[in-house]
Amino acid sequence: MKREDVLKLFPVKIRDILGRAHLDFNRLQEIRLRVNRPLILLYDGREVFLDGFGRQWSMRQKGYTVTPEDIAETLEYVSSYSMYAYEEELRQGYLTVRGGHRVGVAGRAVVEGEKLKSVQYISFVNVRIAHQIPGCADRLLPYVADGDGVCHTLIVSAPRCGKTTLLRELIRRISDGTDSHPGLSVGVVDERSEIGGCYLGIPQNDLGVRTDVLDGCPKAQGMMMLVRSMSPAVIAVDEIATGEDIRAVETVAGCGCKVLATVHGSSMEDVRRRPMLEKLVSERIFERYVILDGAAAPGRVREVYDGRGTCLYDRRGGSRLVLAETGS
Amino acid sequence: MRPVLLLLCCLFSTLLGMLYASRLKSRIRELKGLERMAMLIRQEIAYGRQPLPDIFERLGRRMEQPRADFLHALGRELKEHGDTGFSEIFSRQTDACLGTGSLRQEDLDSLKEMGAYLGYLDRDTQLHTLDMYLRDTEKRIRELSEQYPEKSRVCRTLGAMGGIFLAVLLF
Repeated sequence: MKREDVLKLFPVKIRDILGRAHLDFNRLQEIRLRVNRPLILLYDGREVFLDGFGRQWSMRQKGYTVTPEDIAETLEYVSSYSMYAYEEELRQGYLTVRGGHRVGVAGRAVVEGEKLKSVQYISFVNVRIAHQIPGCADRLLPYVADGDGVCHTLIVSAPRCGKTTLLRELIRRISDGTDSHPGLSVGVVDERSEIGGCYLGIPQNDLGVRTDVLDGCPKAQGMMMLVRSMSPAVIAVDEIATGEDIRAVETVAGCGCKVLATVHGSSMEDVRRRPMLEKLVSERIFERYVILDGAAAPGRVREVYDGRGTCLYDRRGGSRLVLAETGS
Repeated sequence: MRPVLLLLCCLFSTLLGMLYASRLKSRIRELKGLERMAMLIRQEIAYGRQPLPDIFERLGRRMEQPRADFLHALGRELKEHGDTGFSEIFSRQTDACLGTGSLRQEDLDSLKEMGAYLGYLDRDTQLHTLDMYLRDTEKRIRELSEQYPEKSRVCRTLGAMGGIFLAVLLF
């Protein structure tokens, strides 16, 4: 990760504070700016307040107070002085910047009819630092790609438990290939720019040499577009949620493409209980279900099931399948 | 010796008149260049939805001098995210890259005024700002083009007449 990419998003004053703090940016997860509130970092899984000299404190009273000008200047830099270019993204509450970092914003919502038109008076900014952890899917790979090729796989986890990071690494490994598996062409539908972290259409994260990315496109529509246009062997999507997404997964699986997807959930039972996902389970669309541990151990695989619901791996019952710690 | 000096005097004055006339033509040419530049920026904003620094750098590769230098310098400085705002950077680069040609201060001020509103608010505001600038520039070009034949003739005549007048005075 380029430290400069992150620092350049902030006004000179905050840039100076962050620069003086001697942070390891690989351990930095979030930088939060709230008007008239202290500057807060999420660093190594804990909250840190920085004062005007870049010193780290655990007491909020010591933190540097963010001014409205700081927020306004940050927005200028984040949008490259071009807020108009990010109108659509701002409507969704976030935009992706160079380096794949995601900048979430909140303020006063402007609603027209029932539709959210824009966000004004932005007073809250959350910069989520993108991390790629090469090798974090190495031990999971044999469960997902067996001798016959890649299996339709659904990664199940609660938010912020590392499912996107794990999916990203699986994509890279499948695309690049390994000693035992030749590389395959992978199509990624990256509706929220989280997987590739695309900036101006160019993925900022390494997704492998045989990967095509359709950035900012609705998942259901994007999956069908990729099947028709890029003939991928594998299609990857993050966070399938709607009935339309599920139907598109079924269609794509029926087209001969393998599907890698993620979904919010806590367990296999949870997946079976949800009406839309239950259909996928009963029809045995997916051949592997990967359940991640909670936020206490992000990125750690708890269980792996096959399409019939047979447990292939249980961390509590056997050897531990520990992936590198991630943040989704 | 004196006839040569008088001849030189006439010649110099005539050349001065012609030079002034050519500056008028050059100003029209440069305004047309600015108009084309603003039009391309407008199209990029309307259809490409790209951030301004990227637009400037890309157009800088297609435009002719001195606008190519202006756009390159602008894109580069904006990407540095220094301590100065957009309009200040725009204004400074306008003076530095375009201020040495045939454009008058009023032309530069009009461009700076457009720069003060670029990047601000939504896409419609950007397009409206550019449309206003394009209308103003088009009007100025039309006026100058209409006035050019008359003005250039006056400049050339005044130059020649001034030279003769000076020669008579010196003689």
